[in-house]
Amino acid sequence: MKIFMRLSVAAALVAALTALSIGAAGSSASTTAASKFTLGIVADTGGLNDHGFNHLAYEGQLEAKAKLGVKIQTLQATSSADYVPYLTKEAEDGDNLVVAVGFDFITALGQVAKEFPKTKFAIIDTPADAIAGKPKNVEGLTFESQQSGYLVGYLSGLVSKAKGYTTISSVGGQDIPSVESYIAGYQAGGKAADPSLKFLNAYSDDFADQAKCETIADNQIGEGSKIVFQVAGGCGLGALQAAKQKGAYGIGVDADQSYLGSYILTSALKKVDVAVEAATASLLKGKFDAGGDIVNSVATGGTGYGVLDAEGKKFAGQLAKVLAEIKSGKIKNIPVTVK
Amino acid sequence: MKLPPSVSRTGRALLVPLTTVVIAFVVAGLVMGLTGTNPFKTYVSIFDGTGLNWLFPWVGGQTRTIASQDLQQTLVATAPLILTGLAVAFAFRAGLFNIGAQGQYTVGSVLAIWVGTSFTHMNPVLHIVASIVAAALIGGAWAALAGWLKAVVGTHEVISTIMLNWIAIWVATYLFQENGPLQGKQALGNPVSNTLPNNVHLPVFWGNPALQGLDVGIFIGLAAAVVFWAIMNRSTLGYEVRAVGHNPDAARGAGINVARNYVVTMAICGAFAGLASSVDVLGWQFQVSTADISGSQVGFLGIAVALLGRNTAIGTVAAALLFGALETGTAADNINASVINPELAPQLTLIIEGLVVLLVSTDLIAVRLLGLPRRLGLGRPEPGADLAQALEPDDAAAQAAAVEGFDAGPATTGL
Amino acid sequence: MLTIADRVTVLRRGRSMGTVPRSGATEQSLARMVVGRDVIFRVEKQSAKPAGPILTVEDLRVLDDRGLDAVRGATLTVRAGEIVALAGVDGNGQSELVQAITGIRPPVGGRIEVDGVDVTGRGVRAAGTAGIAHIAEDRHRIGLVLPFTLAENLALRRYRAAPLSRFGWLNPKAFFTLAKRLLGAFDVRGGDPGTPAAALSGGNQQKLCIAREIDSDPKLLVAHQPTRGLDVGAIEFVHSQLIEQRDAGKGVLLVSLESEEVRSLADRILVIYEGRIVAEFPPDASEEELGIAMTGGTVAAA
Repeated sequence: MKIFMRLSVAAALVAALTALSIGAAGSSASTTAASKFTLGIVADTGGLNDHGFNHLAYEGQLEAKAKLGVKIQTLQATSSADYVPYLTKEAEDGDNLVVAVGFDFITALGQVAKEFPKTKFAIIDTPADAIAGKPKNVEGLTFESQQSGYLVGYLSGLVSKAKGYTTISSVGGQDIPSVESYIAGYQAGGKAADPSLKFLNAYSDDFADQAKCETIADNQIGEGSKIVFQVAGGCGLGALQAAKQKGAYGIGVDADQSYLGSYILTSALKKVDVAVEAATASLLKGKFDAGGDIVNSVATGGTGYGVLDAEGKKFAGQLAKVLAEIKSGKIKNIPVTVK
Repeated sequence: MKLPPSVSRTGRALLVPLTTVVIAFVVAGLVMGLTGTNPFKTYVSIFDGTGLNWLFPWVGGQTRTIASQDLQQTLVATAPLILTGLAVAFAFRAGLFNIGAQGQYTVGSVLAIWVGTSFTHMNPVLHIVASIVAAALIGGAWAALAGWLKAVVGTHEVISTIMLNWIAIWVATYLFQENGPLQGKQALGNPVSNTLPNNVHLPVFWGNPALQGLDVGIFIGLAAAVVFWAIMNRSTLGYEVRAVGHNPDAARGAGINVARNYVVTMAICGAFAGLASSVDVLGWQFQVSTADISGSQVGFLGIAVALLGRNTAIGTVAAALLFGALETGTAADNINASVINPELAPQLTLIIEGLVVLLVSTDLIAVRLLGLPRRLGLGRPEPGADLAQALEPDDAAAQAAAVEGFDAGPATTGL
Repeated sequence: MLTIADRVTVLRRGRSMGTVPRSGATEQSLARMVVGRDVIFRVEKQSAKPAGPILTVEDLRVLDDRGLDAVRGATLTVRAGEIVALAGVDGNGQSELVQAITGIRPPVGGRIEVDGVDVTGRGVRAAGTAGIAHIAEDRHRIGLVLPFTLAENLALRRYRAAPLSRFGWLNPKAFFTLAKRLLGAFDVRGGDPGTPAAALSGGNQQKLCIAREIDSDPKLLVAHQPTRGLDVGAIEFVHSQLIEQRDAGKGVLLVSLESEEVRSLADRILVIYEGRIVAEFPPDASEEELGIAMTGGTVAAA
């Protein structure tokens, strides 16, 4: 259910792109007919129901099947011993694009990609040059997550200004680039909307233990934070829990977490589903970023914000405007590191 | 039901595990039947997926190529299962329940990958050996800790090995997580170790080395089984281990140092489990991520392997092959999707494994169905009590059995 | 049996040896049916010719499993060529005393010497090396490893040395040879070297223990309730073995709860009460005298 809701803006965009790409397919020599194209996905051991990347990748695969008309093959690994055989299987079966879901595949993909130079591979949220040997038949699907951070930060700033909040906060899982870019964007966006806003930020050094993030968020709320942005996966759900209990707003991350309740202002998205579908659409047109990365951004529909709650909806128009400004390049150079 | 005397000793020893497996397959088949899946077609599909059809000479062409790849995967999965099975079986023979194989495996992984990715100027062969030996040593030391706790302060090994599992898993997670001391330099913020250089991989002798062909780890597993047999049945150490396992009071009365025996036994168990990790890390894994650490089950599966294998070397090898084959046969890339949903097939393996453990550990088949004596008529239940030896001896096997007969013993889990 | 049963059926080697009404049965006649010949209840033996002391225990103090005093300053001597019986009510420190002498349980005080060698608290192996053999009070719990084969059980005392093992590796042939010899010499029936000990009758299990212990050619044989739970034939066998050992010039320390056994076998009787040796009697002491001493009476203190 939530999956379909989440696709709001981006899906429409991609659908339009897709229609274009299919229309263009027949005329180019390097393109493949969608009906003869198989999109393969190998999910990591988290499983397809992980409420995370695997699930989103699978959703993207289903979307590609429905909208682009490609065939699909999905293999869900139960152990990391499955990675090489499953990638091999999809390559041997002649899949046109084999998507490995996540960094856990770095080593396995490095081995298999070299053995099947004619097969195209993609890896989620991981730059292609992280693969040993930097094979030319691999592209990375990466995300400009600072844009998502900026958008939810901007919304937070608007809400704060309207309600007289002075302080908002974020809980990061760890001080690493993929987390920091979200938070840097969040603070930049918040400042842009409300220059007087104060920001609290802390890292839990954990992505699993909800209690840790809950404690951090509790402290932040105690120091006056009225909005808590979680960037800590499963641990971060504890931060949202703290926001709920203390009457503060929470902001979800990666997937749309509005299902948690009306206190979720919105979510900062990393749309793996959109990325998978877009990569498929590109390849159908003969476009493949050999050894490079397809950077998913607001422009591609790969980043953005999720469902807005009642308070957020009041600012929907302003937020859409900011999104358009990012897309047009009017807002650029959003920081990726926290000062 | 009483067995006729014409059934040989070996036949009797095989009866319980074979019946166990048959019942487990029948029950799992019933589950499939009741949920609208054809169990016969499913089992055929699983069997073909194991690659064991490669053994049939009439299988040829493309099917044979695929079968050979599947069989390689089956054996890749079997090798560590043999070793963790031995790690549990050896303890059972000493009357100890080693639930800690997973933790011993985990610390072994850490050391195998650390040694394998450090010291890059070493001679590759020495490097591989050093990595394997390091994993075995740390596994042994880790397990010996539980033996030492039992010997000195009487901590039950079930408790201490479970606790040591968690310590191992969380220490390893800490080491490889973001900013952890052993996180890989190329990991880009991901919780994964450095990647093993190509020249520190175990040699692949069947299949494509880049596509997880069969490495020599299977021979390490088989060699360990031979070592297990030799220690258990042909060494004074094994004699002492078995004496302690059957009756620690009698062992003490005969001058065997029971406390020391517990420590040595656990150390050997841990070494087997540590070897298992090195076979995986150097054989196909080539990196260790926190997902590998929290997701691995191979140490726990060793308990099922040992139980089904009745704590003997040959039995453990056979049970490991069964479980390895099941794992590969139900893997999503092998199962025929028109027969059973590939997402459900791996659960089938878990059902069968669970039933095996349940049936073996409760002695259900031995006691209720085959009418064998539960234990040896004494009040004190011994973990690892020797069921096979409670059976009437086979006269023809008399001389050999004087020592050959050492090798037997299902464990009743003391839990 | 004779006071409860109406009829008595005797089984021997899986066959019924006949059924007799109680009125026609005496202990002697039943015993004859049980073993197939006359049983001598009164043990016949030559008078002892004791030599120098083999075992000297001085002021020994031993704790029990709960850490309480079990042996509180026991002093005793066993000489070569005599059977010394330790009589007492069960639980007066006999088990702990025996365990201390045989090295299983370290004492907390005192001194144990075997033929001049101090073995106090030195462990089972040291005690064995010094010449102590031990027929354990509970053959199931201590004396035997029941799932082990007869060969393995017979090797318990000597598997560490050649020919049974070399450099830590066992020699199955030597196990078999040893077992064949001892099973024959001690007439152990009901199995071959490969049979698990659990399959034997109680008497044959005890023969197994005795065979193993005596074959180690000890200086001192400690026999703790060696006839408990045995049939008359086996009891007779055990008794004759003990006397044979004495006559061969070894010291025998017999710990028994059966006053008849004590009086018929012993050359001297020591009474243990609350962890101390409280009295010594000659073998012709009356049951009454012994009984008083065993229950802590001081009337007959020697």
